[in-house]
Amino acid sequence: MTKFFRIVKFAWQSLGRNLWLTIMTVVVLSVTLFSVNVLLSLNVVTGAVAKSLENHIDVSVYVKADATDDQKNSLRSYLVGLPQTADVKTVSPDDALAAFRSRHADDPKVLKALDEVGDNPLGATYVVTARSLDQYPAIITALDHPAYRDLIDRTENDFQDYSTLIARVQEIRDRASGFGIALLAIFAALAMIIMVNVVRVAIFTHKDEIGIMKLVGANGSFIRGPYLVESVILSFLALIIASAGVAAGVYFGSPYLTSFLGTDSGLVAFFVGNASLIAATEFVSLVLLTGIASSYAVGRYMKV
Amino acid sequence: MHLRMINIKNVTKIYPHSDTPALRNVQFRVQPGEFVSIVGQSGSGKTTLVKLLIAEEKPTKGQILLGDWDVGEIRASEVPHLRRQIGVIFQDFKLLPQKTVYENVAFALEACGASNRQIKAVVPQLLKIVNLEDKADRYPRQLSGGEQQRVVIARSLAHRPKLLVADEPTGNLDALNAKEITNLLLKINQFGTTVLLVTHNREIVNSLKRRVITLDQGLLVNDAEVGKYII
Repeated sequence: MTKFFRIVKFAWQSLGRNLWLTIMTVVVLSVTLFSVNVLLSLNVVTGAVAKSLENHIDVSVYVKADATDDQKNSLRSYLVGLPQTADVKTVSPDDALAAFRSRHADDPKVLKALDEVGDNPLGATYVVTARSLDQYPAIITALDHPAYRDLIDRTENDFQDYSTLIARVQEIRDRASGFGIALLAIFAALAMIIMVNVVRVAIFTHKDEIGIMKLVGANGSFIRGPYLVESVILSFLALIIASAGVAAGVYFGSPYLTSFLGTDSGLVAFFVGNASLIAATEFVSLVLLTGIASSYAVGRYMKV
Repeated sequence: MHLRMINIKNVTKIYPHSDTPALRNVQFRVQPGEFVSIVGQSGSGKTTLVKLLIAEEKPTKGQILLGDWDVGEIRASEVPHLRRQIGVIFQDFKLLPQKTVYENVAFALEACGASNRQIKAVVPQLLKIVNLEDKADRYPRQLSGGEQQRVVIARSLAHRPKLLVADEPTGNLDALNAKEITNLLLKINQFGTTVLLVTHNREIVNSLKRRVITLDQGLLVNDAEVGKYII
């Protein structure tokens, strides 16, 4: 136990008496850790944007104006009962007309034509939202049911547009996700290389001391111990600083991001929900990296 | 295991990538309590001999017996234990720059697991022996060369070693400080510690009137009980 306390004491002494080296090492570790978190945030935002895009996708089923209430209810029940359906919203003919007038407010010819028709030519609309993006094609196919296809006021192009749009959104989401993961992996690898070399440089400055300690009769664990403890302390300090930077960035930046994207960036929820896991993973990774680098570097200079 | 007699038996040392032996068939014994000067010009093998004695290098041929230790056969895990029984003083001091005078001396005791009570008792005594008790909280960079070397001597005495090896201890010092360090070594020898003084300082060697072993190009060329610097 005395040996352990001495090792910890030496580590603190070394950090304090080589203050500039300590500060520089912590800064480099913090910045590297921060940049990994920035990339993580980018992944989260990308995912949130893709999800938002998905949420704006739906299939609007325009029912013919002359469909009876029983027919409309039957169609609605059918749509709700589809396993791919998450929700079905009903837009009444009057609401549909109001929405139509609003969309074409700047087009007097359309409005005039509508007035000449007199009665509301629009039927009800059922807005169908799928459980996931890849389930829309199944819903669209289901609409081609013999019992209901004659009730639906549609053209061929509507369904093809939906399919194309859905496919495009899926492609964007998958590519963004893959790219984000690849970038995160590359950056994490670079971060590891930077951290390892920062520690090696720090140990290099103690090269002569390591040799002296060996000559005086200190054994391997007594020489290595303080540097391993230093790794833990430096990792902890770097984590605190990087976490503070991330927290500040998320707290102050999230509202601007939400405003810019037009949807919640998801950052606050992600970091609040995963704070412990992220912190623990980063701390353990940092300690392992710096500890291994430190142990290897000290070992090289202990060959006296 | 304890150091008693030092026995250098037909030791040859050839460094890797070198054709010229640094030591060639060197053989001598040192009895407990002796004061021996090992002299020779640069490149004669003096420093190599010191490295062999502290197990920093192993002999290519021959044996180095320090009491029960055979340096050529020693395991890596035993080296720290051997070095705790040998006090070593170097020309370039080799103090830990980020530790105070007190901490440098204490480190030698901390490394071998001495208790805090023991350290608090022993270190001030050692600093008193070398006349540095009032500079205990100074860092090496705040001391003169002579003072730094005295710290090294205090540290080397921490384990009460049976053998003290001084490799050019006065090499970086002026004449006055060199004399002071030499007197300190003599005082330590009076208390029963075997002292091996490796030096090329002619004046010091000749003033000591003690045993002198002379090396020249790796060979032992002279071994006189009351010797002089003859090269």
